[in-house]
Amino acid sequence: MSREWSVRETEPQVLVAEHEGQVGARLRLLHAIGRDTPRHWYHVGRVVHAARELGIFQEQATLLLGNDLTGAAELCELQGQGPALQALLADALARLPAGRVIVELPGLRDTAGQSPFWQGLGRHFYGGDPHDALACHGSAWRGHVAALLPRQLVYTAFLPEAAQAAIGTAAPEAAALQQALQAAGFHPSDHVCIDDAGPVLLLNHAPG
Amino acid sequence: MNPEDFLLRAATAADLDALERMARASAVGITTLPPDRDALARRLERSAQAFATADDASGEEIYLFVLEDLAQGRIVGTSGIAASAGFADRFYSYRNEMVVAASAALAARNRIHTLHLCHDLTGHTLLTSFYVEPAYEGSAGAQLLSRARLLFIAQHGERFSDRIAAESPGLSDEQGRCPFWDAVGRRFFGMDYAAAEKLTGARNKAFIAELLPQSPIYVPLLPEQAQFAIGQMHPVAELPFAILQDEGFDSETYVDIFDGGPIVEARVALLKSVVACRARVLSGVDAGVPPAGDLHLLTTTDRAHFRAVVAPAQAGDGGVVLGEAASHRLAATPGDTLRVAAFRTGGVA
Repeated sequence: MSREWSVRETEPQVLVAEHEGQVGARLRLLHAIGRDTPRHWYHVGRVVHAARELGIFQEQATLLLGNDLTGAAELCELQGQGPALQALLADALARLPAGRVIVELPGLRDTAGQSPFWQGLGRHFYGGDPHDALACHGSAWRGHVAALLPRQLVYTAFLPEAAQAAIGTAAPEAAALQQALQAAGFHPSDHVCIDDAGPVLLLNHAPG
Repeated sequence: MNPEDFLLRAATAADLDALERMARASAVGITTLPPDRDALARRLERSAQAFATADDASGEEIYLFVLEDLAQGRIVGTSGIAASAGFADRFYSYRNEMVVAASAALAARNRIHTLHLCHDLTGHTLLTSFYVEPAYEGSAGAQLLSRARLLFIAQHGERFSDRIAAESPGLSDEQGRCPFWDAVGRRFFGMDYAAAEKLTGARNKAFIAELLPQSPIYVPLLPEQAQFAIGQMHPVAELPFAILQDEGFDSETYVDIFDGGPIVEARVALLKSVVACRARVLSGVDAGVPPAGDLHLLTTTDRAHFRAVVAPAQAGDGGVVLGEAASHRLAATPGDTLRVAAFRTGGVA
């Protein structure tokens, strides 16, 4: 039996989908991100090294730190599932002008909460504990740590296998969310988060 | 061993057997002296041409020298010069750089060692092909073998760059496994070092370099063994490396793109032997036995018949006086101009 979900803004930027006073889904909607404080992502690219005479043809994945998605809208702090989430996403998108909309999904973590990607790359550039930094600075910690991360192209071949495998892979517990987002038109982009390499989903929003 | 037993001279076609023997004896191989008789014969030919030609230098020249033990009547070492590294192409190396980044908010600062693929050493004169039989490593002959090249360059400066470099083989084990290659080159070639060397053969390294990442390598991302190998040389290279360090070469800046071995680099004009040496006329021959004077490093100034020895000599503004044996070894007669630097055990004063 399907219920009617109504969406309203409960506080600035926060949208909830409600039914008879019960909140079924919630998100924060950000316009034009990275314009007050810079936001950073890795662009996942490819480089081909070819030497026909040597029979060598190597495709290499690369990471390049940048602010590529600056100016996009972002849906974050997503909670909920099913029709409530569906209704919420539809409503949120309807509020947005044409342009890019992103959602960052959490990346792979081990049972101790460690990210293999961070272990393979980030920790060599920032010796502190990411959990402590997050506790202290909130999500802004990623902007702070970006100042310490490699500015030049990193060939992923230099990373441990577990770190390479984590690039663009969402945590299993985010699978349902990813499905809902893909049903709403989002697709994996060439960008990942700088701490755990979780995927950034992208929608080129073209209303009406 | 008596310093006066040694003669360093320009190599000739007749030295092929000795050169091949030394190329095969070298523990890690001398990259510029492949153990291939035909290739060595061609190199000797090119060298003879470089010593003899009246043409202006093109930069393509290589000069090979051999060290004779006259008491034993045999050749016991070799060394060489390539006029211009990467002639007509590029000479690649990794430049060590430190990148420092800071985050005030996190109260953190890092200092990251990076390797930058570069062409800085292209066109530098390159010291190459150093090999001396192990029994001679502590002898004046080994010093002569390395340093006489610098006097040759000082004498014929128009044929060389004013910057000079020399490669040392990096760390590898007896099976030819090389930790730096395994961490860097192998990822882009998918083969071991020996196979890559064989495959590329006599090709210019530039060919290989094009397959390497063009962006800096962040050293902390490499396995520890590979990090340790950066700037470390194979033990066989210790003697020639030590001589060049004593001459004032800098060993901190560049490493080889394949095995991570150090590449030393310097301004020719600032090298100890170059600063110390003077052109002096052979003003007389001392018939005394032994002849008077301190040990000197002496070379002829005639490019085509280059010879160098270590011998007692009296040198001053009025010229240089040598013993009969030494002038005979140099094939020099009074009136000839020599290049002279004071010599002491372990180096040139």
